[in-house]
Amino acid sequence: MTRFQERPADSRDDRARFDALVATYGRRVYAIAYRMCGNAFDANDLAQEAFVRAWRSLGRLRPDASLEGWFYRTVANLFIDTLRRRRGVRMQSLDEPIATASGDLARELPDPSSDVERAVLGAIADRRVQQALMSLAPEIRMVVVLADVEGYAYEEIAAIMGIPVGTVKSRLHRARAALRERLAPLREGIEDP
Amino acid sequence: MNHARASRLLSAYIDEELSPDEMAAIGGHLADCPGCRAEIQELRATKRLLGSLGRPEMPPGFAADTWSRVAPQARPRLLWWPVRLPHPATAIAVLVLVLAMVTAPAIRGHQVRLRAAEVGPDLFLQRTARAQAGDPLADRAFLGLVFTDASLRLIGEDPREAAR
Repeated sequence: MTRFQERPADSRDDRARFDALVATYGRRVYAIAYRMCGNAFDANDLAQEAFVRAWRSLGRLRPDASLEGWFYRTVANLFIDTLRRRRGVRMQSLDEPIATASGDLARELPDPSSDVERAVLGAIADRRVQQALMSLAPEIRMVVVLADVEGYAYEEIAAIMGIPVGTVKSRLHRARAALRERLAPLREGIEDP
Repeated sequence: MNHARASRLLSAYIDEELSPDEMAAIGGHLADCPGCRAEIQELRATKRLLGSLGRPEMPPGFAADTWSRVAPQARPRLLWWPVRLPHPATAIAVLVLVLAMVTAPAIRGHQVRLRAAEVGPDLFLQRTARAQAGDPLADRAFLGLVFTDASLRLIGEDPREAAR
């Protein structure tokens, strides 16, 4: 397990330690932030804030504590608190017309007959799922992102979020029930026979 | 197991996060309940849809950008030394010293002028010059000023008026 000094004297050492922290957790933290925020700009800000906070409080980490568990707990708390405070994150609807100088431009959904269109359709599905995620309360969204997007087990999620396994189970049940309704049109193609 | 309870556990059932007894009970219920069978298919498809979401890439320069927000904190001394407030005892000591430096010459000047007026400027100058003869740091300019002031007074002029 890695142990970081509270106030390392050499700033070049600091930078190397910091880069190591980002290299280890950056991708995953950014991916979770992106799914929690729904856009790259806010995700970048939130993920950066997570590393800033984690770095500042590294010194308070007990030597025997697991860095990974502690790190994701910091991230989860920050994400939920921040998103709860700024409710109503801007999300653009796919059906909403695009405003241009010469008037509104209606969006057209492509027909899935070529590879390019399939890729575009994949991106649209991605956005639809993301929109559905954004309709959930942050603490519910966090559970479903950790479970179904990131693939964590219930016990791991309970440890990360500091909640009982039973709560993980019930939140996930509520999240999937809500998503099941919202994603019905998208799901048709992939349901079990 | 009744339908309501089974329905609540379907989500954990597809994740295989139930006890073996509960897994068996749900399995039994599914055989009899077409509603739950349909629901479980939809839940599985929803879970797959979430699992198929793309993994966004970190923006380039993420580590460097974040470091620029962190760096001042990593070197707190450099940032904080010039703006940190002094200890109260230090502040009082500095204040007393400044006050003493301002008031001491004023009091001394006043006393020296009184003494010069008392003994007469000529005698005062003579005595003081003799006393300071061996002192290279003696303030001769000040002595000259006192002598001039006292002489002006003797001829009935105000030295402050004359200075203007």
